[in-house]
Amino acid sequence: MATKPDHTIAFLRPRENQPPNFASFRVPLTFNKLDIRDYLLHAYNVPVLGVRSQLTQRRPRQSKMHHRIYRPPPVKTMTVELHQPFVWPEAPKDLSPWNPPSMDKRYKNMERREKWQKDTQKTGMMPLRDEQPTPESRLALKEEAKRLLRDGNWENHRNLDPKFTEKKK
Amino acid sequence: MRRPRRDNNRLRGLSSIYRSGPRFRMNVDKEQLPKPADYKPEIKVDPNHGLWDFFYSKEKLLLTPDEDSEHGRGWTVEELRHKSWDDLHKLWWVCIKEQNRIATARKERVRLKVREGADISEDRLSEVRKTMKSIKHTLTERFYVWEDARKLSETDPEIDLTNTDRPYTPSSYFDEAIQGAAPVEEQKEEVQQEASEPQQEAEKSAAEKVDPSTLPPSAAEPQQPSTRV
Repeated sequence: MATKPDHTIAFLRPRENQPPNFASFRVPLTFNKLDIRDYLLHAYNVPVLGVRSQLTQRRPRQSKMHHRIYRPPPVKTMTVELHQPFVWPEAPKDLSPWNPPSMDKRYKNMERREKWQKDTQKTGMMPLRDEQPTPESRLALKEEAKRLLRDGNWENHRNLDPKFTEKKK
Repeated sequence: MRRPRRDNNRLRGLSSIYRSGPRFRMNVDKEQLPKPADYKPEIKVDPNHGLWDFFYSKEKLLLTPDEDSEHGRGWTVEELRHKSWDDLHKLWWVCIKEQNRIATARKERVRLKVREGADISEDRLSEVRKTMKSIKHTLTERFYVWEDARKLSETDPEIDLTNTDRPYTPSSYFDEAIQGAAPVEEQKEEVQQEASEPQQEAEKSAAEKVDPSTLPPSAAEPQQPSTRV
């Protein structure tokens, strides 16, 4: 049985000042220039004038499994010269469907926590309370305490149930 | 005046890209120099350009998570068994293009730093993967059935695979009966019984070798075309 090609190819957004008659793709490492020419012609009906291939070395990183430093395999991209120019569609101006405002607070909290964790791991020191920003609730409490000391009027703005009130003798 | 360089190249270190400035002293300031016009020509893109297939539509770069989640399930093996080779081939390439679309959208989502939509797109990809897996399953199954059929035909006296035009020649025992023209009918019946018994046995023994699960459900259903043209 003939093997069926199952390569995944991603179309990459052109870099700034890249002419419109060029298009870049991220291709599998096994691909060569003839492969992409054939692929684009037969799968997408896009004839190609020329192909340039780039291999991008990636940074070494530490494995999370065994903490060894290794270098991930490089990324292969190919830039083809097109017969007809192609311009990408505009990016959406309103990103609210992807960034729903209802989730804003949660994501901000998550980012803050991640930053705190990263900084702590990096420096090995927990930030002191003085170094942390004062939370809103603490400021409000401080204000209220000040007012209580000044005016001395404890008022909760709530009507207490009579069973909680102390009976006067 | 610049000091001469070691290699006597006057232009060493001068570049229009890296802003090393004009080569000689000028009467105008650097800021007063004319600048190239900020002009980008409008490019007309062919509406039938093949690269549009990397996007879901020409206006939209990305599908919103709601639009992205509007997909059905992948094809199952049972559904694909009834499809022809051409249909499966087309479906395979539809899947490949969908995969490429998803990969392109994934890159764009990272670039735009959007938060939602990655996992929904992954669900879509998994359905595509399921379809592709089913296609391979169906074709492998079909190949095994074909191979078994070929083995079976080698033992079948009615089938001659060397004859590419008409490999199947049904044995016509009615003709034999007429040619023989046996005067006694009892004798004829005996001969027929004798002739049919070993054939049945041969067929049975060959059929027993084949795993019944690999055989097609019924002969009426369309199968993979055989080698005969």
